[in-house]
Amino acid sequence: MRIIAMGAGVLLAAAAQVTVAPLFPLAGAAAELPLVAAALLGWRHSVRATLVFVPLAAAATAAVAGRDLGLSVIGYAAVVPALAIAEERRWPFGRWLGALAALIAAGAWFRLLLVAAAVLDGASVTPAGVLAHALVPGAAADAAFFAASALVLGAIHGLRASPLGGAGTRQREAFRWP
Amino acid sequence: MVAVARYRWWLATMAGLALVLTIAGRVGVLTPFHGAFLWLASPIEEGLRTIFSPVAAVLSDIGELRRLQEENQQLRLENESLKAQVAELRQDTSRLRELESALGVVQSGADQRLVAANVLARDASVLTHTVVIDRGTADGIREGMVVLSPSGSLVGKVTRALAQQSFVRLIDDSRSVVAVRIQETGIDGSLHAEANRQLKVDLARGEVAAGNTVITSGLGGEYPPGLPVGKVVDVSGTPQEMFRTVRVEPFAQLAAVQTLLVLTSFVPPSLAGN
Repeated sequence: MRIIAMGAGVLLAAAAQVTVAPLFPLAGAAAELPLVAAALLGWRHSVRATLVFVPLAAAATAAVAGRDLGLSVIGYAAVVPALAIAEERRWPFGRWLGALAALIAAGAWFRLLLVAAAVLDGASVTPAGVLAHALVPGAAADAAFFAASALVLGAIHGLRASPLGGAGTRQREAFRWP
Repeated sequence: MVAVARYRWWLATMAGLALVLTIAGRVGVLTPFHGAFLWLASPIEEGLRTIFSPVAAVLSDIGELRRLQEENQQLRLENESLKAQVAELRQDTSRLRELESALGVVQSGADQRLVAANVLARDASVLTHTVVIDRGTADGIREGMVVLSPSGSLVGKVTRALAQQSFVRLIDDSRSVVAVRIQETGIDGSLHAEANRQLKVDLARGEVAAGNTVITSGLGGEYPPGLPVGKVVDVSGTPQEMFRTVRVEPFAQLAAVQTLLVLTSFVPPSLAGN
C-alpha cells in the first residue's frame, strides 16, 4: 500500500511540476513542487520518509521536464540533509518552520545548480539577475506553495501531527502545527 | 551535524546514482523508458491542467484587470488599423497573382510542411523554458527543427525527439540564441533571453527604433530567414554606441501557447546529415 501511495505521490509531484507550477509563477519564477512535497513529507512524517521519495521524484520530474537526470537527483538530494539539520534544532513556531527553512536552502542549491548548467550550456546571465529573477522569487514561490499545502494538511489532520511517519511522541509534539 | 552524518551513506548513494543516470541518459539507454514514462504521466498532467488552468486564469485576470482593459482598448484601435491594411493587402495580393501568372512564377512557400502539435507539459524553471509536445519522430519530427506559433511567428526549436513526444526549447530560454534582423533597417543581430525571460537583441551599429519588426536573418543556418520573431519595445543608447540595449516583445504568447507548428521541411544544415 505504501509503495502504491509513494508511486502515486511521485507521479503527481512530477506532473504538477510541469502543469501546475508554471501556472502560478511569482515574478516569473516557478515553484519546485517535488521539493515542496519532500519538505512537507519531512515535516508531517520524518526525514527517513523522504529518502526514497526524493530520488524518485527527482528522476520523474527530470523525465517529464526534459532535465538532466543526474543534475536533478543531485539538486533534489540537498533537501534530505537540510531537513536533517532542521530536525536537530528547536524552532520557535514548531517544526514546520524548520521544514520551510530546509526547503528554501535546498531550493537555492537546486536553482544554483540549474544556473550553472544553463551557463555551461551557453546562457549569459549576471549574478544580480540570477538573484533577483531566480533565487529570491523561486524561494518565495516555494514558500507560498509550502504554506498553502501546510494549511490544507493542517486542516485535514485537525491540527494534529501525523502518526504515520514513525516519529516518536516527543518529536510529534515538537513538530506540532501551531 | 550528527543528523547529516547519519545520512552520509544516502548522499554517497545519490552521487553514484546521479553519475549512473547521467551516463545512461547520454548513452541513450533510458530513451525507451523515457517515452513510456511520458505516456504514463500524460493523463495525470491533463487532469491537473484541467483542474488548475481555470483557477490560474481567474487569479491572473483579477490581478491584471486594469492592464487588460487598457490592452483591450489598444487592440481595438490596432484591429481597425489592421482591417484597413488587410483590405490594402488583398488588393496587392490580387495584383501580385496577376503579375506572377503573367511571368510564370511558382510560389516559393508551397513546399513548406508543418506538423501541428499540442503542448503537454511546460518546464519554466530557472533560466530555462521548455515544453513537451505530443508529436515525435513517428510524425517526422527531428532534433533541430524550428517550431512556430499558429500565426507563424518563431517559438523555438526541437531539442529532443522521442517516438511520440518531443521537447522544444523556447526562444525565451536563456540558452537560446537566434540570428535576427531588424526588418525596417536590415541590421543583423543576435537575440537571447535574460534571467527574467525578457528578450534582448545584441546589434551591430545602426538605426533601430521602438516598433520595428524583428525577423530571423537565417545567418548560421539554424533558422530559416524571414520568420517573424517580435517587435522592438525599447531601445537605450545612441546609434554610435557599441552596445545598445534593444528589448523585444515576442509575437507569440510564449508563456501560454498551447498549440504549435513544427516546420518539418526545414532541418538546419548542421543536423541534416544525422
